Amino acid sequence: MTRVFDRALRRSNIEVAYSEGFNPHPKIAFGPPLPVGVEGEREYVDITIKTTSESDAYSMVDKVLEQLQKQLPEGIEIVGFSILPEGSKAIMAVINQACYRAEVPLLEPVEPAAFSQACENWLSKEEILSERIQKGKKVTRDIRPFIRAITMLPQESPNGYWLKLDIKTGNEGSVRPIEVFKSLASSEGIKIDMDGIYIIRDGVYILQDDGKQLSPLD
Amino acid sequence: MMEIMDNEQLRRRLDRILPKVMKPGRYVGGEWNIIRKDWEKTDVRMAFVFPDVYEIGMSNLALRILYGLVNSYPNYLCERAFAPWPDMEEKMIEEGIPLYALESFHPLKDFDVVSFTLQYELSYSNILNVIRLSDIPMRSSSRGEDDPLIFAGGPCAFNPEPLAPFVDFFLLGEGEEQLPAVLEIIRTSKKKGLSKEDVLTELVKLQGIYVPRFYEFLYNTDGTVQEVIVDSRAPRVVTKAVVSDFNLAYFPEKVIVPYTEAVHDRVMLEVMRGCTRGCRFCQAGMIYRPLRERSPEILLEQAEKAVQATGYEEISLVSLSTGDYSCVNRVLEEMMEKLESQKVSVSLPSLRLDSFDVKTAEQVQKIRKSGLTFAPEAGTQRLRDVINKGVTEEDLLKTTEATFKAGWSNIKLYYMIGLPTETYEDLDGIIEQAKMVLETARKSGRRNAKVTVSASSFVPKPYTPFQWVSQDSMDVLREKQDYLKKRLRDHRIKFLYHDIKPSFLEAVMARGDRRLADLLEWAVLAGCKFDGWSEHFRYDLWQQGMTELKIDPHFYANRQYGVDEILPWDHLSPGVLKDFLEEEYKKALAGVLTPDCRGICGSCGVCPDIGQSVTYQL
Repeated sequence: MTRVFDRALRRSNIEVAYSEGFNPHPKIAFGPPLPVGVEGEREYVDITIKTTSESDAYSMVDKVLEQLQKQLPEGIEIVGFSILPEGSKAIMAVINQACYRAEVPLLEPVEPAAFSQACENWLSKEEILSERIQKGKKVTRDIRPFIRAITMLPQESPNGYWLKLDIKTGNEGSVRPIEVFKSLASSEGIKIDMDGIYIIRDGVYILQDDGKQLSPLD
Repeated sequence: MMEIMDNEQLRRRLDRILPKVMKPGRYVGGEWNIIRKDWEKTDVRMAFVFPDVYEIGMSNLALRILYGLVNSYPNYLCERAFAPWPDMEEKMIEEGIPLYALESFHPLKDFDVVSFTLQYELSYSNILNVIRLSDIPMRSSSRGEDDPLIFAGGPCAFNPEPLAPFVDFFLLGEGEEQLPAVLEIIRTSKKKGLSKEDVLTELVKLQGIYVPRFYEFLYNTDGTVQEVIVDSRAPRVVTKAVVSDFNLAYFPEKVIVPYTEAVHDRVMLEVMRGCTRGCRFCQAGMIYRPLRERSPEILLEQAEKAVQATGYEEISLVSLSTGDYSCVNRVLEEMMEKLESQKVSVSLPSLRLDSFDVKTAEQVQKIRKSGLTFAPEAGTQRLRDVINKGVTEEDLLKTTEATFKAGWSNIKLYYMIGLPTETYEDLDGIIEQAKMVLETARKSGRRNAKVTVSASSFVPKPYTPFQWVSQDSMDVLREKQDYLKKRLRDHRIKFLYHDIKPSFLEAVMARGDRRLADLLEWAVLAGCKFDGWSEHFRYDLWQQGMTELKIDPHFYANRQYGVDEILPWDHLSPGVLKDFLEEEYKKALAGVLTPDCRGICGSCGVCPDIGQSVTYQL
């Protein structure tokens, strides 16, 4: 992704700030990476660009982003921006929550009430062990601490349900939505069509101690 | 038989399997600068297949040039396809997805023409496998009028005989002018509703078009070629096409920028075509003649446009020997100056020991202090003279000393083993050179220097002075490898060598004839693919096929071909005369050098009839 932006910025003739040193790299920093196969609706990137005049920073950035948009590959749309004061913390350091919604098709029908109950049962566990391959090795870990909420959405789906997932992210790691659904299927005995799941990340957020959820642009 | 599927159905099925395969970015297209044309409104639809994995194929200059070229014509479209990695192949078969092109997701079967680039012999199995995965009959004779025409070009097209029954026609030489002419004939033929046979009859009139079905081979009892019977419609000898003016030749500035990193993920500017050195083992040095340099002004203009169109952070100046480009320093300096503010670096891929200039190397940011590669090719002056590699030990020591002094501490030396007339003295020469380079490092104050010695096995190639020579047997090559391995045990030396079996199969295919087609087909049906990748190379299967079909591979790899023998590629010509090659072969055995043809013309037969050499003065 950094390469995609670096090249798009070069095509737009926007001067990006580079790090010092023997092998300088552009100052482009992303938030938590999107899991493979997941669509992102509100993703964030910090870009440090060189400016010439400070007179109207906002309109200047607005113009720059308009140029950049033309050079971005299809599927990447700039929806908003804010100008960070100097010395701001990196995006990665402030994000601690990722919210997903997913269409989960079922291979065998389950009543809404039963499905909702299954989610509750699953979430009421103190420990949820999940296996995943890490660097070619099987690793078992408890994924329960990363799950803040799992709720059914009213949106209709022909063969299943739409779910909302709130997941904790940060330097202690996180969990991928697909792992959540795999675990839900195996421990609650629900037959999910795993290959047919469609996942969207609504956004990444800063969840404050007071429970307020802020977007990185706030 | 797979069911018929349109491109939208295919796309939907694809979405189900992509999360389950490695590097799904290989299979989805959508890259920056991708060209998507209106399928319905285009007269001729061509698929360009690189018969290896995406990252390798996207680094190929031929693909970049021909993709841009064909799409620049309103009447034609060109889409890309690559060999799917075996994990993807498995999933595609499971889901009933035929091989498709990345632009429109149309199955290859829906195209008018499907083309392959023949870059190396070990990709032949992939070519057949791609045809099989496209649900197209492998043999031309089994394909119907509704199946695409299949053609191939590239360096191996100068002896494509093992592929003859599978490919409708081959393009010899340079495609910039020839390919549009081919597509135009296909366009008008399609309008007229001509049969494939009639299209081929038209195509064969063009320069450099080889239609294998118009040539029939008769063999002697000893297995050598007795006679080639040529259909009256076709030329006795097909001579390659050459662009009329290399400076004006189409060159793409808006190249596709992949998301998943390609092997060469950068702008590539072709500074020249051809090479004048005349190394006797080198096929590229013979078949890409004559030498034509591109003017510095055009290169500088292309550099700026390409960076603007792609956003790439690096430009590579490519050719067979970029250090020999007469304006290399000027172009490097001016290009770097022009692009500095955009943080674009310029690199050179190949440097010769005698034209290497440390100042040049220092300028080139991308050649990091981590390592530089030089290719003495052989360990003694005697053998270097045999192969006409006009590099001396003095060149090596002078250059390595300069590089160590300039700050490099790792040097890679590239050699070939099994070269004609090689003895163990020549191998000792490799060992001595490695130690001398280390000694030079010590004297230059780089005590921690490391030398990597890489030794590949010599493969005799058609259209080189060594085309008649037998490859060393696998046992002999193994002994030679072991000899070096034992004597290069030193913590400062790293010895790299290649598996011998793929080099043997490469030699079989390189000098093979049409009778190998059955073996190729057998091997692909048995599961051979990605033969160039050690993890997928199944020599046991190839061997089984040879036994079952009673094909003696040594007849091709380990036999000294007679100079009077009709070679399986004598009816195809890159312009270099057989007499010249024979003369060079004799000079090789006598250890006589042939000078760079920029100084004294060696009368190879290319200039002035096939093309004319072009160079620029500083």
